[in-house]
Amino acid sequence: MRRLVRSALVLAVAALAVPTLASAQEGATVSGKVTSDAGAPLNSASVFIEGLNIGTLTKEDGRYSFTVAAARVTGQQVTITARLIGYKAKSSVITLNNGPISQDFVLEANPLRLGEVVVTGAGTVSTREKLGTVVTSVDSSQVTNSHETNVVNAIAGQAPNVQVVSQSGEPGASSYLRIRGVKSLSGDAQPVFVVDGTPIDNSTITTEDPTGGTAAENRAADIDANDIESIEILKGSAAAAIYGARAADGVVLITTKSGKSGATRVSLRSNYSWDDVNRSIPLQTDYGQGSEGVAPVCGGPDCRLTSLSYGPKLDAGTPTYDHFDELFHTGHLWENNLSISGGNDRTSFFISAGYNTQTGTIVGPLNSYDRTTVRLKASHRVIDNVNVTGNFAYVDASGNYVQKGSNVSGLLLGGARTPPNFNNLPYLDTTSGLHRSYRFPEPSPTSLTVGRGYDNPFFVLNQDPNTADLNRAYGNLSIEWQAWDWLKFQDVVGADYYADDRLNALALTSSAFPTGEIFRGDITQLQVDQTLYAIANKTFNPDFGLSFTAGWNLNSQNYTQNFVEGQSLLAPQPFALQNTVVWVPLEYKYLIHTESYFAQATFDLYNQLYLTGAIRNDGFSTFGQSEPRAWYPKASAAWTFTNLWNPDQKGTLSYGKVRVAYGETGKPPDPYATQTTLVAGSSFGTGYGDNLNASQGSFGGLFTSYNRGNINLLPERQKEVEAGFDLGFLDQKVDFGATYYQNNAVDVILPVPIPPSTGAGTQLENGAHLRNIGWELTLNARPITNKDVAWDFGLQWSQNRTRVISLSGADFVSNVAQFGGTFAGAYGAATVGNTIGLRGNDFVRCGRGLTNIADNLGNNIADVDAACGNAPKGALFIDATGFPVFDPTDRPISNPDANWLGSFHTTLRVQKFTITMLIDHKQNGQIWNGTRGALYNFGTHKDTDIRGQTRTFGKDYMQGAVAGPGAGMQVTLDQDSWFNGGNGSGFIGPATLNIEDGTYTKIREISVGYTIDQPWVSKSLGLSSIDVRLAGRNLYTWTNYDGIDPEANLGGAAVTVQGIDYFNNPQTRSIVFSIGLNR
Amino acid sequence: MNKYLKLAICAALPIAVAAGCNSFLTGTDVTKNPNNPTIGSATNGQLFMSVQVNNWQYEEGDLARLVGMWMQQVRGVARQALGIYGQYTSVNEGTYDAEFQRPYVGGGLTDIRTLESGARAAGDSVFLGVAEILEAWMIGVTADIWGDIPYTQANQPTTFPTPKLDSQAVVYDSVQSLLSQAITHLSQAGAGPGDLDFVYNGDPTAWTALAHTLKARYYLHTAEKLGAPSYASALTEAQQGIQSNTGDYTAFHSGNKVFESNDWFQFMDPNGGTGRAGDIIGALPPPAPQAPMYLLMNAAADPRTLTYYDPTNSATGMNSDRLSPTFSQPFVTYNENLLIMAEAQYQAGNAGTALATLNQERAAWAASWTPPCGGCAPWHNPISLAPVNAAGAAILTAIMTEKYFTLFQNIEVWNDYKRTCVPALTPTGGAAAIPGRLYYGVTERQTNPNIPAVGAQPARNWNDPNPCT
Repeated sequence: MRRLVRSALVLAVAALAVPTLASAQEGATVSGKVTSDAGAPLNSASVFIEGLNIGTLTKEDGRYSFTVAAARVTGQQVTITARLIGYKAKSSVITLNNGPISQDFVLEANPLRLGEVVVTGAGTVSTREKLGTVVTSVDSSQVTNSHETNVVNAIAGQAPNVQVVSQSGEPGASSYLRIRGVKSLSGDAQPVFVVDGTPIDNSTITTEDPTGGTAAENRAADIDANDIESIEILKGSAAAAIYGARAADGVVLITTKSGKSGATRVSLRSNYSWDDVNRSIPLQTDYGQGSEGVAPVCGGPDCRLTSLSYGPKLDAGTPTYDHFDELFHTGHLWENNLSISGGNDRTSFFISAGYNTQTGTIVGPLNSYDRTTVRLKASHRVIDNVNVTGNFAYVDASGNYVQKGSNVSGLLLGGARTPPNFNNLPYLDTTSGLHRSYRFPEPSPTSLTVGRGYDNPFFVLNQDPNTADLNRAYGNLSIEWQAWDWLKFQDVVGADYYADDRLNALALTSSAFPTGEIFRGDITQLQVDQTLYAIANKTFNPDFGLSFTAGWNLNSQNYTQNFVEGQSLLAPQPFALQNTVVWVPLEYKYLIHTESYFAQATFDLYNQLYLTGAIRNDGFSTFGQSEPRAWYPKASAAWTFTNLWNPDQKGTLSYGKVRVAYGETGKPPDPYATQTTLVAGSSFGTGYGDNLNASQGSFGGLFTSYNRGNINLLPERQKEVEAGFDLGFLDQKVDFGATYYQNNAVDVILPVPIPPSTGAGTQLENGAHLRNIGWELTLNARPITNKDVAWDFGLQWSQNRTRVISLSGADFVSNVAQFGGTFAGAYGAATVGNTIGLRGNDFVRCGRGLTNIADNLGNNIADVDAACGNAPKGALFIDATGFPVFDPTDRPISNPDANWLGSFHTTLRVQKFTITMLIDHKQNGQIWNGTRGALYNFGTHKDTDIRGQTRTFGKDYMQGAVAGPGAGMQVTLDQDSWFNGGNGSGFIGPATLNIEDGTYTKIREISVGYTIDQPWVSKSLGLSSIDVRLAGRNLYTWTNYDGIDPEANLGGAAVTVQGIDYFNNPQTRSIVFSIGLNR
Repeated sequence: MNKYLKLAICAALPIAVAAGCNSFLTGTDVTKNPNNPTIGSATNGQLFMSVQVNNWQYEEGDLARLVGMWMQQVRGVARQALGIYGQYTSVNEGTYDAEFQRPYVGGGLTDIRTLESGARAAGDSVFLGVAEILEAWMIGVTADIWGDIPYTQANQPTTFPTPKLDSQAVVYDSVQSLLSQAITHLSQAGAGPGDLDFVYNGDPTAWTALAHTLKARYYLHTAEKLGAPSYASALTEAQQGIQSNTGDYTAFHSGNKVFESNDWFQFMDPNGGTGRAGDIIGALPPPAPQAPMYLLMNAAADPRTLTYYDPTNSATGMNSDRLSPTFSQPFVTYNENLLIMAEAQYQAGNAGTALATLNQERAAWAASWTPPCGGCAPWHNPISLAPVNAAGAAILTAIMTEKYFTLFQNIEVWNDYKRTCVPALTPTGGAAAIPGRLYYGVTERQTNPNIPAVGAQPARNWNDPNPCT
């Protein structure tokens, strides 16, 4: 399939070069030019005769031309309208006669986009000034100019309080959206994605544990960003209430491009990028492998050496190796998209095909992502008041991934722990041809089923294939019947189906599974959705209009996951189940049905006051039995008060609107959460990976689930109040908007911890209350808007505070898989009075009321505060040894949420040059640098260079107030006292030692574009224009964070708790060159 | 596919909703969990399998590693194990949370109680007796480690949503009476677990002997507090306990899958699958560290040293037979039964009998050492253990040292140490004493107001008033 599309692309490029023959047509040929009030020609403006449903788009020079068939030309008077996003529409009346008709338009800038149609979901549309809530729109040029293949990344920096984080820079790694904070304790907290009115799946499904294993794609990335006309983000519950019980985390509405009648337009875009790792892990190169200053001696084949780098100081001239840099090189992305669109007065079409091929920054052949997409959207007017539209997309995506994270066969876990004096190359022993590693340097030929301690990273990146192959088809059919001019009926039936074929393989000698292991997964997802709408619009008199939408929706989601783990390979290859000895299956499936009704009405009063009310009633098969259906109301008011005296939007205060809204959304219980079950095919484990199956051999065992279900579960409910204003100044040259919201998530479902001594550890209840309060500010200015020079800039600032208000009486909950599990000393949890972050231990500190704490000598400190004397609260307690003391009290230790987020963007256009820049800033937000804690233990971290030196806690180490008998005492920081055997080790000491501030400023993007549309382009190439752009993505990051990247997150979108760094694969920065050919 | 057709029809014809799509939200295809069996559908045998395996995990999993390290039979040298071994303060209320929960949740009391009522309903007294022994055993271990624990109110979520703590003394009494009850039930009619019982194949006689040895063990656990009567009861029970090594209760691991393999293998061996190899070791080649017990055995020139340790194995320092995926971990043995008798006899003032029983145990050890592979490794050769010749208090030391060596990797070693302080172990990390109990699991402490906060929990349990210093 992929090859087919590729040949089609080649053919299409060839066709592009041949000028098409203009066929002589009879009838009226309407042509002209559309320019801005500054005099610049406007590209892609729509020029349309509404009554005849015919029109076209302008080209780069602002010119347009279309022909009305002679049969429809009767000398009648028609209204012709020119529209373009960012400009006020303008209409003219022309008389339609056969022959040429000329009509030019000058459009006035409309930077606030007032009067433009905004898709607000579930069949409803509005215009921007009528909105009582914030709806952020991202248009097609913003999407394509981001040079992101994942549409989620294209949203980054576009709206306040819409935070985008990619899991890593690997090709095909997931990105997630966090809109106005976390409002639930389960699921992936991702918004619903709706494409042309039909929801599509955006889950991120990892084959193995998300904190180990490999990255996985989030499925919205299957959309070709080049196909997108616009994206609307419904951030809050007040905006998204019309989507009811699925919309707790917001809604992303994507509208794909459509064909316009008129000349056929062809466009070919090609991007090429050079990607590099942007930051590295600091490693020392002064001390070699060993312990207590002594290098290990390999006694012969199959010797096992210490995992530590606390050996002797390396002699000058000893070769050392950079175990980070050696694993990475420049990756490449080549992205191609061809689209053809056009139509006539009854039919329009849009066809596109795209092919991306990407090789990642990790050395080796197993790090790539290829995606092929095709789309056909076509619309036909069957009879004058009935229109049918079909929209079909097909995607073939295949990725190769590298093992990462908390995983002894992960790339950086073994890589960064390697002593500087050990050469990881060759990774295969020259004598035996087998996997060698620093802990197992001389493999004998018989060591084919023996683990290596940690895998040699080059073995991981060359020998462990991890693949995901996805085929997906999605789209919908819509039939529209304009029954009267004020009433329309529409039915949309859509489906989204994919099959994702996974293989994760650990070759023989892998440390995580020395006898070899493969993980085969088949994931299929089918969602069928149908909505019937009735849409009415009537203006009763100039002071009173009404829009009304009512609908009925049916939805079915069917998910199946068939995983089989094959243990112990027979022959080294192939990685196929029949080539393994033991098979462990894991099936998971669900079927969810929903049925909903909704209605929304907007009253327009005196062209300045807009009142909207909506209600949705949802029935979900996953709701508990006591209340199988739920209501979601919303109401909003918007008042454009400047229309009282200034309807023309001129002057110092050129525009002013205040708005207030309230809405509720929900989140359904997980499938089958109402039931308590037995557990089949499971085991009794300890948290260290050792397990005993309940079934042994052919004898089956069943036991009661740790989680008690609840037959009366209700959907979670988010209640949000939002208020704000939008102001325009100086003839709309400057605009400023502010929004405040408070979202209370109540009835949040949580596995309420119950005393395990009652027979189960958790019971699902609607017991939690989470609150998100936030502010969003935007400021845009357009100081220069001349024909040849235009400059604008904008600032966004947002803040969101997530607080866990109550957890059904518990202080915190932690046993939620999405929280990222447990690491050395840190685990994800939601704690009352805090946000969702990590918990763990700290050092003993003053002012915390600690009693009966054992110090480093095992002596009891009866009352820490008494021992602290007058030391300030929070002072580090130093015992008689001169070292701080481990406090066994479990407590919240990290707040991963940003204090605020900001971004700055600017565009400078000088004639045909356009320069843009986007800078992103995140203030605070803590990260647990577990990588550093582990590398202290192993002695490879740069900081461990100070081993053997003396330091004083509070003074020149862990600066801050100290107290206690050993305060001010000089101590030697060495392997035993601190880094490896003491509390400096990430495996022994408190996790707080590695909590870091995650503030960063990033240059997200700088680009320079040039449009070539001189006459020679058309004459000699047959093209209307050529766009060339050179862009840099993530060029530079300012941060004090010591780890790989303050933005990385180990579990990706599958994990709710952010700020976990544990041998993550790194992020990238890119240089992108793009060229677009248009005709 | 049919349901999509139906969905499409329902969608296309709104009227059909009234007619035939009523079950769209409530039909069994959307409400019945397709992934797991419903509660109550497990057979007695299926519940027994889970309980049996869960008890093995309790006996040879995380707790066994902890006791092995604190009792210095093995040594933690990396990552978390390094902290647990070397710095007792790194163990907090989260460290053994899962182990505190194990005896109560799935595979523990909740399923044992269902199994017991199932056995009663089936009129199978043998099965009931077996289930009662498993209950007494798991609860007994829980009381050994945490002292006062929820028991009489446990596993009745409706009546007692937050079970109170029963004193350790009360729990030990319950353990004794439950075991007595089990012995009675085992003498009555019933088919029992049969071949699902991987250890005794459902043999009521073997289970009866096990129950007596467990009773003897639990009488010993009250001896430091209650003195002579406990030793007397222990002796009486041990005399009816396991009478030969064929009656040993040892785990069975087929080794066919990773999760059907011995836990020590899973954790310590480079092929164990957990990636933890090297965290805990036995005796590595010098100058790398060795477990203190290895040094003790070496110093005593005990011929059994190499049956446990292998100082030429740089990965684990362990004898490879001992670290085999199929190694049958001994939990309650004839040897332990004899050594319980020896200690009880000594404490009753019969030093000579005690010494004879000790030497009987050593002879039994040697006799049971059947070389599995004659001549292929030094430790496969027959082993002879010379009789101990001692007098006075040295007899008790000899008995307890013998027990320390014999019960390698057995969690009972901690109880013996706390009672007798033999052998004299040096606490690690400069601590004054080896801890006498664990903190209650954090989950229980957070959810059950009857559990005291960490700072308010006792340092020692009721049965262990005196620390070893």
